[in-house]
Amino acid sequence: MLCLSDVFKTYVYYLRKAVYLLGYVMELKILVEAFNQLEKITSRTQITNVVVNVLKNTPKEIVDKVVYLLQGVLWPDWKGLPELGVGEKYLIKAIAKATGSSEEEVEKTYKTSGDLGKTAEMLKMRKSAGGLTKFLSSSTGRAGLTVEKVYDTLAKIALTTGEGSRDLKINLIAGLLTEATPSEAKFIVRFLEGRLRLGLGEATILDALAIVFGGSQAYRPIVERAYNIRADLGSIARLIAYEGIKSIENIKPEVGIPIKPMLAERLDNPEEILSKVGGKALVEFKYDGERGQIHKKDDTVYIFSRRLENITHQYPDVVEMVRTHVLSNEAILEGEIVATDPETGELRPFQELMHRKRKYDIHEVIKEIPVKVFLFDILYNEGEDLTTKPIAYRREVLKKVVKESEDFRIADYIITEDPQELEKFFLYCIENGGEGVVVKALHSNAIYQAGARGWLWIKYKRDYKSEMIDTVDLVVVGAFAGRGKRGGKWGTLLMAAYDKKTDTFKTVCKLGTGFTDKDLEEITEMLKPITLSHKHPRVDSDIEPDIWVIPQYVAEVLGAELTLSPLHTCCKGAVKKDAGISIRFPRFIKWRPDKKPEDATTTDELLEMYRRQLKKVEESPTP
Amino acid sequence: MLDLSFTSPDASIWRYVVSSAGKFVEVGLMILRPEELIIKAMDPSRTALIEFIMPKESFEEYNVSEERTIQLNFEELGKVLRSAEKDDRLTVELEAATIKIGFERRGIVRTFTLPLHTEAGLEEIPELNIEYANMFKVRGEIFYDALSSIEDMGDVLKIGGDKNVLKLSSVSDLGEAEVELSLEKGVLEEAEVGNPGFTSSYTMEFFTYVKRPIKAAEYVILRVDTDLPAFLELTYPQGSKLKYYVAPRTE
Repeated sequence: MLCLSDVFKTYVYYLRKAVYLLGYVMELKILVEAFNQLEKITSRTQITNVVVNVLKNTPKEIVDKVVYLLQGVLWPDWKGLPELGVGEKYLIKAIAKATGSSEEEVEKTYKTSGDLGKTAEMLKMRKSAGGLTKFLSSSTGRAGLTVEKVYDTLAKIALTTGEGSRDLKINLIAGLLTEATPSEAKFIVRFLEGRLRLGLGEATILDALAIVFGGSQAYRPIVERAYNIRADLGSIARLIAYEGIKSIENIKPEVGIPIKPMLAERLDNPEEILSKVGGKALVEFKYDGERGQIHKKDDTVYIFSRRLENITHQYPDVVEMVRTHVLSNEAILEGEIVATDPETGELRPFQELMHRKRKYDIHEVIKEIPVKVFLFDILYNEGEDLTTKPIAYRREVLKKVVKESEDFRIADYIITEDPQELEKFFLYCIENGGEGVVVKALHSNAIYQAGARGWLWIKYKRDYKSEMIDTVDLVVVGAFAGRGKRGGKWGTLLMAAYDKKTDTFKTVCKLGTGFTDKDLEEITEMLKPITLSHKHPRVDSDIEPDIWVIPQYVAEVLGAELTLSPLHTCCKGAVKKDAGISIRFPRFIKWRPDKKPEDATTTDELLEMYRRQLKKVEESPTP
Repeated sequence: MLDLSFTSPDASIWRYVVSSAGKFVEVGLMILRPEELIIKAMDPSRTALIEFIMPKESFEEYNVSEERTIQLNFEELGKVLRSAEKDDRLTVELEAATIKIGFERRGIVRTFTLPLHTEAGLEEIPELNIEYANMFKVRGEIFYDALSSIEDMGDVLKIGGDKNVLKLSSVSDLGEAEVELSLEKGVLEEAEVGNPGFTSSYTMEFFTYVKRPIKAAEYVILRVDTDLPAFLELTYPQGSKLKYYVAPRTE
C-alpha cells in the first residue's frame, strides 16, 4: 500500500525533474557521460562533437562553470585563487569515509588500480555506504548531484584554509563522493587530483563554443580573438550564452583581465630579419627579465606574467611606480621587469628575480633586488583598444602616457633598416645584460596580435654563449664616478686584458659589482696617485671613462659568460668584424697585489677561453 | 531592534556542543521556536547528524515569540565560546543582522557581537526516524570512560550486545580492546535487547568528536542494531537533550 510519505517522495522527485527539464540546473551525469566518452576517443572531430553536446545541454546560468570544468580548472590561473591540488592522503581518507572502507583497503585497491579515481569508482561499486542518507525519512527521490553543487563544493574545498581546514576538506570531499555514482566519483577524484586526463585542448572548446553559439566553426576566429583579448574562457562563454556571438565581435580589453601576450618568431640573420619585417624596423633591447603585463585602473594595479599568472604581490615597488608614472586612469601596458644591482644600478640576470617569488618579507627583497621596468607596448588606454592599432601609433600613445624616470621608462631602441646597425645594437644589448633584440615591423598592419606568434615581431638572440668557469685577472685602466650611495667615489672601474703582441692593455668590461663599502673607500685612495688627465699610451680603449689611470692594479674577476661586444677592444675582429670580447655580469673577487699588470690574463687567453666554452644556447620560451 | 533573546544558566554545555559539531561540520542551523531552541547540523559526508534541543524551561529567560532559523558558523561561535565555563550565564540576543553573546561570571559580563549569516539558501536538515530493537542507558561519565579506554586502539568502533550486556570494542593491527558494560554489575542503568547478538561497526572518530558532551551528560541512551546508525541521546540536568546519529560502516 502506498503510504503518504511515498506520495510525497514521488511528488518531490518529479518536481526536481521538472526543474532540470526547465533548464535551471544540470545533472552531473551529463558531464560525466561526456568525460567517459572523451576517455575513449582520439579523433578531434569526435571530441569536438562531444563537447558541443555538453554545451548544448548546459543552462546558460552555469556555462562558465562547465567550461572551467572541461578545462580541468575551477577558475583562470590569473585570478590568483587557490588551486585544488588535494593531496593523495586526503583523498584516501575521504574515499574511505565515503565508501565505508578502511584506509588500508583504499590504499590496497589503489596499488592494484594505480589510479585513485578508478579506486573510488571500484569501491563505490563494491560498497554503497551512503552514510545516513538511506535512513533519512524525508529523503526524497534524490535526482543526483548537480554540476553547480559539485563546482561550488570544489570551490569551497579550494578556498578553505586555516585551522581545521584539513578535516573540513576531507568531509566536503567525502560528502560529494557519498552522493556520487561510481562513475561520478571517479571523475570527482581525478579533478581533485588535477588529473582529469581528458586530452581536451582549449582549441576544441573554442571550436565547440563557435558551433553551439554561432552555428558554425567559421565563428572560431571571433571566439578565439575574444579569448585572446580577455583570457577567461568561462566568462567569454557566459557572455556569448547571454548576449550572442555578435557581442564579442568587437570585444575590448578589460583592466584586470589579462590579454594573451603577442609572441615573436625567431631568426638569426639581421638581413633576413629586416626583410621579413618589411625593411624599416623598431629594434628593441631584449632585457633578461620578467615580461609583465601591467594593468592600471585609478590606483589599482595588477601585474600579470607572460603565463598570465597574477604576480602583483612580487612587485609592490612596480605597483608604486605605475601609480606615479602612468598618467592615464585606465591603461594596460607591457614591459620587462629587470633585476638591478642595488649599488650600481646595473642590470642583473633574470635568475635574481626568483627571490621575488617569496611570499613573506617581500619588502626586504625589494631592497636587496631592486628592479627597473622597461616598457615596450601599450594595449589599452582610457577606453581605447590599442591592440588593433599599428605599433607606431601605440608607441606614440605610450610616450604620452608614461612619465619616464630612470627606473620606469621605455625600453632602449633604435629604428633602422641597416643590418649592420642592427647587429651593432644587438651586441651592445648582449654586453649590457640583455638577451638580444626584438625587431618589430613598423608598417601600418603591424597590430598587436594577442596570443599569436608571428613575423611582425622577430627575436634575435645569441645562438651560442661562452660560460665563464674560471676567473680572470684584469688591469684597472680607468674609472667612472659612482652614483647614489656611491656618490663622491669611483663606483665602476674600466678593466683591461694584456695584449702581449702590442704590449697594450685592451678593455674588456666595466666592473661595478662585488665591492664592499670598504673596497670602494680604498679604490678612491688607490686611484688618487695614479690618475691621469689623458689615456695612458699603453691603453687601447674606445670607451671614455671619467678618469684614466696608469695600468697598475690587477683584480681577479668572475663573470657569467664571455660575450662579443662592439664597445671593447679586447680581441676586436678576432671572432666577428667590429666586435671584441667582453664579460657579461662581471664581479670583483679580490685584488691581486702579487701580480704586475703584465701578469694579467692576456687577450689570447681570453680568446681561447671564449672558444673553448662556446656552447649552443638553449631556446627559452620568452619571446 | 531586538528580535529575540535568551539566557542559559550553564554556558559550558553550549561550548561542548558547538566545539563537537565544529569538528565535523562548518555550519549548522539554530532553530528558535517559542517552545524550544534547537541546534542542528549534518556533516558533509552525511555520516553524522547532531541535534541539540533545549526546551524553553531550561533557560532562565527565553523571549522567542515566533519561529526563526538562522545559520550558525561553528568555527566563529566556537572561538567565542572557548572561554565559557561551568556556572557562566550565557545571554544571547538576536537582532536583524547580528548575534550578541554575553557571558556573566561573578558579576563581570563579556559581550561578543558576530554577524549573522545570510538565511537565504539554508539547506534543510532531514529527520531520522528509525526503529531500534536494542536500547542501553548508562551514565555519561561511564560511557565517556568506556570510550576513552578503547579509542586509541583503532579507527573502528564495534558495538555489540546480548541480553543486559553492551560491548564496545576497537580492533586494529595493534590488537583488540573491549569494554563490557552490564546491568548485573550496575554499570548499565537500563537495557532492552530485542536482537541479542547484534553487532555493528562505526568510525571511531565520530564518537571521539562528542566525548565532551558525553562526559557532561547525566545519562547516555544508546540505541543500536546490526547495520543501523548508532543513536546516542544525551540528557542534561536542565532538560536539554543532545541527539547524535552516526552511520554504520559497511564491511
